[in-house]
Amino acid sequence: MTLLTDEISELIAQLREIESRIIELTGGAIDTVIDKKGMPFMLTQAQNELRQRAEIHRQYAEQQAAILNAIPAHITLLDGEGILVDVNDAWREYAELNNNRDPAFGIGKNYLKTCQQASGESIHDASLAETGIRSVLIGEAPSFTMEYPCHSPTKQQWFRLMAAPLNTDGQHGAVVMHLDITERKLADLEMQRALSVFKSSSDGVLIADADLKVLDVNPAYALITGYEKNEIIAQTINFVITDLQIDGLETKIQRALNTEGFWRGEVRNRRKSGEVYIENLSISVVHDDLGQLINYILIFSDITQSKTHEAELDHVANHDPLTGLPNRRLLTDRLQQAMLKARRDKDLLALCYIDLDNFKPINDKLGHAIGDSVLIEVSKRLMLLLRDSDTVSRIGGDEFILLLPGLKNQEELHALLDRLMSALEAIISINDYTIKVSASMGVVLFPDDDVDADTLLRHADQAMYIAKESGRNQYHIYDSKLAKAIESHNSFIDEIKHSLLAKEFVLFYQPKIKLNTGDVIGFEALVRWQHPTRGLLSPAAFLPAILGSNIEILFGEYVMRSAIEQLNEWQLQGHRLQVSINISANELRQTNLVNHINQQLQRFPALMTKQLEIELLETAAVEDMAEVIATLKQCRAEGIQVSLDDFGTGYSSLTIFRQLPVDILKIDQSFVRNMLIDQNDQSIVESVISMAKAFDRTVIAEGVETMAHATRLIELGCEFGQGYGIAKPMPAELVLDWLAQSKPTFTWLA
Amino acid sequence: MKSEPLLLRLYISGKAPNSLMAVKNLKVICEAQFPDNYSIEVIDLFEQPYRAIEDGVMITPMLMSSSSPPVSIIGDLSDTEGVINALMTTQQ
Repeated sequence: MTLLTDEISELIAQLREIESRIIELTGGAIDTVIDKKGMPFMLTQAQNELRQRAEIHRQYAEQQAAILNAIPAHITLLDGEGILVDVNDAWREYAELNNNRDPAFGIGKNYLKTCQQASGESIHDASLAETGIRSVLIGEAPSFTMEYPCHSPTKQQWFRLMAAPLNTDGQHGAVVMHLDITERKLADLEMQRALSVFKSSSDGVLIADADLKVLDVNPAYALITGYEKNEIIAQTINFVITDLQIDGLETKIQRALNTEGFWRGEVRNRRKSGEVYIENLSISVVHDDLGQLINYILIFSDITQSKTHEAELDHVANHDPLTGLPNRRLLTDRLQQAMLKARRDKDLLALCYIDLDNFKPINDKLGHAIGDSVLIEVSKRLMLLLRDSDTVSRIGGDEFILLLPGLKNQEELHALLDRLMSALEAIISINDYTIKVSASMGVVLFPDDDVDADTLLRHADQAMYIAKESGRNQYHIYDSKLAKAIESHNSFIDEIKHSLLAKEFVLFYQPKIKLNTGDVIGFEALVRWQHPTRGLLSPAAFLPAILGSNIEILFGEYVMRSAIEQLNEWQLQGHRLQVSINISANELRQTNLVNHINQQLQRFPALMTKQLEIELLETAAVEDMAEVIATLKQCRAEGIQVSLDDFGTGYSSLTIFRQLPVDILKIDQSFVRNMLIDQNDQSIVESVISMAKAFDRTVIAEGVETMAHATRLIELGCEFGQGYGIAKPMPAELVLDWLAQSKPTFTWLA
Repeated sequence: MKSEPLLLRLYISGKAPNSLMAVKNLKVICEAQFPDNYSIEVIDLFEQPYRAIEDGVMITPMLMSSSSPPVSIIGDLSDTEGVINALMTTQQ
């Protein structure tokens, strides 16, 4: 070992000596000596330089690698064959991210062959890449660039491939980079879409800056407004053209933009030609990331045509196509407004319903064309006579309605109607035909007739019919007061009819007793109306309306049926009672009254006819005496008792009384009630009692209100009584209880 | 009349002291003696070792003229006069 090191030391010493000798020979002016095989022998100072140089190279290579790795692009170096020589960090990371298990990240593989092996959708792009890179590798092209999609099921991605030649030491190669351009591509696509919307939209679009200076407009803008893009760019605009502005609209828009950042509405605007058009405009504001307003975007469509069309439709919908006059729809509309105005202005509004007399024969004989001409002529004459504020409308066939507002009085109306009548009567000449028409008119005045528009029209129609029925060629003015009375009566009768069906009428029963014993001899059925909203109503509230009406008979039957059913009810509970019902004059005149009563009674075989008594008013008996007498005789023959009610209030004629076949007299309660304080009344009571006795009739005093009345009546020889002092009329369900405990209450018996 | 341009090759060893000196000296000489009528190709042994071998260069720095026969001068070319004389000879 020692020998070897010694020898090596010796050799190095010789080398140093050689070097010194060379330096000596060359005056120290050379750096390197090269032998014939090309091996350099560097002198010490040259070696130092080489070491420095190597260090610089290493640093440089490191810097280059750092730069390369800092680039997000996936970079690989290919040799002349296309084989991957090296890759950068981004390439490695991408490979790892995509589960590429190759530990060498493809280094050593042939890039071009990998391209050839591509399949599926990428086949076309791969082939393009292969050709491009190859042309760079063989020096045909200075560079190659392409973009290609590389989508995964979860992510859309695009890359740019760039190949540049890399020539080292005369060797061909290439740098191939893949740069992820997804973000830019998506932005591009979005921009393209936005741009195509902007360009192809049929809505005009205007983009302005915060000072409302125009930045851009789309082609539709020019089409709608007539302003070319270069005419409007950089101009300052208003949201609304000043001379077309509706009060406060601009302020309203600004407020909406400030608070909501958006406004939409219809505005009138002006084209370059000066023509006004209507646009459906929406304005939005755009803010930057800091919330600063940067843009206004106006989008609008020209709706002038649809507006015009709307107006045409509106006209068609509201006018009669033949005469061009307003139709019923528009008339109703105007009528409502006119009614409001008449009320406000406190004047009169007349509604005149016109129906031409004998118009149909014109159509039938001369044809519809002539008929139409007549209608047109009529409408012209009406128009000629009326004021601007009046409305003439045709509501069908030969029917017209005039709306005449602002009338001062009826006289003014009559004068106008007379003029109309004579204007319509004048001869109409069409195509050598001479035609004469006239009209029947029904007129209603508002607010004399204070009803709604529909009813007002109906009333005018009704009045027109009266004019027609009264001989045509005349007018009739609707009498609202008369009609109202009739109407309210009719509606009340309707209500009663309805209540009969609903069984809202109930019978109350008031006992009649033998005064000196307290024995009950029967009950008078008195009708009450259990009104659903007004409560229990006494006969005074409804009987006057019923009497003489078409439901009088119906009502009587209801009462009779109810009373008989009640008698049967009590009978079933073991009480054979007697009930009297009130019969009106008209019921009495029914030819089959007796049959009718019998039919009702026969429904319940257990009942006997003597359990039913009919009460009739003295006044009812007087008309058609003979007929009444015959009916009453039939009743008595059947065993039905008859009493004469309210005796003393009518004629009280002895002759009549004698002729009437009645069993009982009922002294009117007004005499009884006052007999204790009024001597005259007591005289009447006394005379009725004696008269009854003379003719052998039973007498019942009505209006027994107190014990004193009962006692006095007994003294006067009146056997029977009825009144509040005995009992008030009571519901049927209380009758049996009352019967069981009534006697002790009759204090005069004690 | 202008003579043929002088074509020169200088073989060096990177930035070794004599090589740097040779480059510097040659430029001064050429600028002074053959203004606008010369061309120097500097061949670095470290960068292009094959060129040196091909050209039979055995020592750096070495200046070689393209004339025939070629003139070669070894060293840092600090002997300005000697260098000029040698080159002038080739010019003629």
